[in-house]
Amino acid sequence: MTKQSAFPYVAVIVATALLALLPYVIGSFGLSFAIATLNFAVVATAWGMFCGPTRYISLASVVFFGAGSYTVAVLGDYVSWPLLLLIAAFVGAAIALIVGLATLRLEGIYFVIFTFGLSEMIRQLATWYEFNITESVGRYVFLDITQEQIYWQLLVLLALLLIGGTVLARSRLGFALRVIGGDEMVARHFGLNPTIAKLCLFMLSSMVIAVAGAIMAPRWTYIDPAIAFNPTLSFQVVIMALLGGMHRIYGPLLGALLMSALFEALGSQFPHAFALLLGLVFIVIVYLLPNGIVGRVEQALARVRNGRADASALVEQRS
Amino acid sequence: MSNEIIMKVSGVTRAFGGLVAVSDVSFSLKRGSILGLIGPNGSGKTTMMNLISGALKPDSGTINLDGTVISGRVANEVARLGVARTFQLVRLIDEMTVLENVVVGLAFGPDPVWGAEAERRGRHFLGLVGLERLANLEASKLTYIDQKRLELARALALRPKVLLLDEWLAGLNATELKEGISIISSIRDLGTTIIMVEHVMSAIHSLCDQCVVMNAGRKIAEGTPATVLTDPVVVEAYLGEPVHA
Amino acid sequence: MFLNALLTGLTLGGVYALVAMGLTIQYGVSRMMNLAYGEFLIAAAFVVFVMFTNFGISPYLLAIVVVPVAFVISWLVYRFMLTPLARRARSAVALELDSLLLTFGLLFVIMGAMLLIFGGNFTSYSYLSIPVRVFDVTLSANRVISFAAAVIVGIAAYFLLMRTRVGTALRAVAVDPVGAQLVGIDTRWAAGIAFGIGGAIAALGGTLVSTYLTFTAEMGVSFTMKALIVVIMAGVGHAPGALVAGLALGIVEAFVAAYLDPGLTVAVLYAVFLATLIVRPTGIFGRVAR
Repeated sequence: MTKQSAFPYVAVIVATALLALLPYVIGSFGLSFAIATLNFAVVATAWGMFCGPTRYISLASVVFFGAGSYTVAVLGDYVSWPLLLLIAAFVGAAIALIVGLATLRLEGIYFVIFTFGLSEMIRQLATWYEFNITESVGRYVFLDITQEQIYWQLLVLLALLLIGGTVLARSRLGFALRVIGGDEMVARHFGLNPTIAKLCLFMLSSMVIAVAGAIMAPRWTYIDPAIAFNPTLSFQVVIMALLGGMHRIYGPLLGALLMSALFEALGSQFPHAFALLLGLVFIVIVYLLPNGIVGRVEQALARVRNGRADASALVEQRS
Repeated sequence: MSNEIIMKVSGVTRAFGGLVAVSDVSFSLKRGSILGLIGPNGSGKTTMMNLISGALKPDSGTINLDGTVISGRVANEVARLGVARTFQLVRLIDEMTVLENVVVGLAFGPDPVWGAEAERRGRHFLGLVGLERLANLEASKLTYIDQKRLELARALALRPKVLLLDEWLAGLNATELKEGISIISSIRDLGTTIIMVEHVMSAIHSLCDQCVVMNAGRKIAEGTPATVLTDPVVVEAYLGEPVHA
Repeated sequence: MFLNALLTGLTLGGVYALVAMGLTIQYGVSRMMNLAYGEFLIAAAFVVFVMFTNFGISPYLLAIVVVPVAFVISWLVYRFMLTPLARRARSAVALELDSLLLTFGLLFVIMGAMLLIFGGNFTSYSYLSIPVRVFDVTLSANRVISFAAAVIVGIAAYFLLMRTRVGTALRAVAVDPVGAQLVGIDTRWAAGIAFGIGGAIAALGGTLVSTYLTFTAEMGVSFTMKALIVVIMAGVGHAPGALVAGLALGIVEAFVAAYLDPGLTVAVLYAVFLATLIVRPTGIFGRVAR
């Protein structure tokens, strides 16, 4: 509340400007990897923006991502690109509204259980729809979008997300979310309606994830429900946010940067053992890094600070 | 203390499954007074507090605040209508500073303030309970009595019409108790109406204008502390049946 | 067609009921969410598949070994993987969250191991698929036996919970862990037993199901999801409720598949789940909220 420095905004804008030049210096493989990393960064940060403060763990990130991709697949031939992104955001918000209205006024465990099977359900539903209503499963996406454009869009989305998240954290709404995440009973007794706050935040987070899905859609020339709603993404997002640290806005970003390389390595070296290795990494993180890397670093810094305080108190005592 | 009634509890009943925690309780609260809600453990006092604050809905009966029905409303509505409370087990946001915790009472109430103005007012309320020096300390690092003071400051920050104190004086030593009583007294002097659930009899005597005694969910006595605490029905409720010589 | 759907639904529902009951015992007593539950079921199915196709041992005989082994493994998982979390958790909510995340990782470990060993292909074997006539409908014997076994075990588990000392201890911990400790019940021991029982039931379910269902290494999630939904809809910790709700789910699924479309079963399940959450989140048989 008191620290209102402009540093985060400046840092984000400068970093974005610098990174915008990246496509000109790296090759196409590097660009592909950069896009994948940026995508993870966006989805993980958006995920963390909701799940961090509220501690409601969503296992359904891919539902929103896939919805965004599918929007492009279905409407890509008929609608202009900016409008596509808008519609994708709207679809994401609509799904979040339904899920949120049902589960966010209840304890977190209901939310988790609901999201656990949600991607399976949506995949089945989408398959049924394609099979019976449109009578062709799978669609082709042929849009004139270059890899560079995808990269830049994701970069801007991430920048907006980080800036927006910082603005939110400093705002009264961000304060409200901290209270709600800290003690809901207190929140209620001092004028807050936790359900509405959670719902708004969940919808915002889901909209961003859906837009990311839409931006990434042109990368696949062919999309079907199994591809769009592959639960692996949901899992990867949770690992990244957990690794980095869910309680700070840049935690998931850090996790995304680290894990993206790991996913790439594991995916290419051990394609059959991918799930197994991912699971092991995840378990290690839960045991050793409950607050993520950021949490460990903050702990260490606090110990140093307390150590200094103790030392100076000792000095004062003696003199 | 005026004779005007600010809150009216009428025939309130609340049961949990087979257990009737509050049974047909009625009383009136005068504006600017301190009402002591007393009784042995398990008599339903905290349930009554929860019914007033909106944490629970009564099964029947009404609670009226300044002409508006507050029973049956959710807690955040009741808070915005002018009821603030402290909790039996202190509930602070540990990760926030002392000042931030007070601002919780300022930012979302009937007249919300934010930013520099909220900080200024927050410090004022911290001053009322003697916590100004600790404004930037993390709440988890406070001593027990200071935690209680912070809860009180937060509740006052809501500028409530009625303040509910749930065993706020519990666990204090003799010095702290004296200080605590004087703080509550000064709050009453500012014009706040207070309902206190308490077990500390000396505080009841020195602070309360009226007392309502509950036992096993029912109201068994009402009156001034002196009257009520010598009432044989009340004595029996606390101590058991008198020994007949 | 109606009778066919009903009977198919019952046999399916029997397994769902059993499996849901195992999960509600695990979750109700230990207060730890086990997202890897379905993996135990599928792992058991694979073990039985391997033993049957290589050595010809009857799945029902194999159950005698598989089920106790699953009990032990589940107990070990609780004792060595989950209790460290209990020690460091600051609140019940934090513990639920931690155990959820941990078992989520465990899910991928077990599923990943199965994918590695068996690949992602559809697996099935044929055992006792002798046609049997029940009420004018032809079913295969393996489904009927599976249903009968589920009923017997379900009733046995019900009596275990209601009539024995151990069962009562488990129920006490599920209702009030603190109170249970005050009367001398070791909640950690109870949670470990409950976890073991849950895992054993899952393994039994997997053994039964493997006789007639075509399964893949990735199907565990589907069973976990359905078990979770049944548990929540019935009310957490309510074992008899889980049995009833599981049977109902099986019947609903069969009817949707017969009269609507097999591709809509999960969607209908979710619609029912959604409705329950809106109307009565503590579950049909659950205790009313405090």
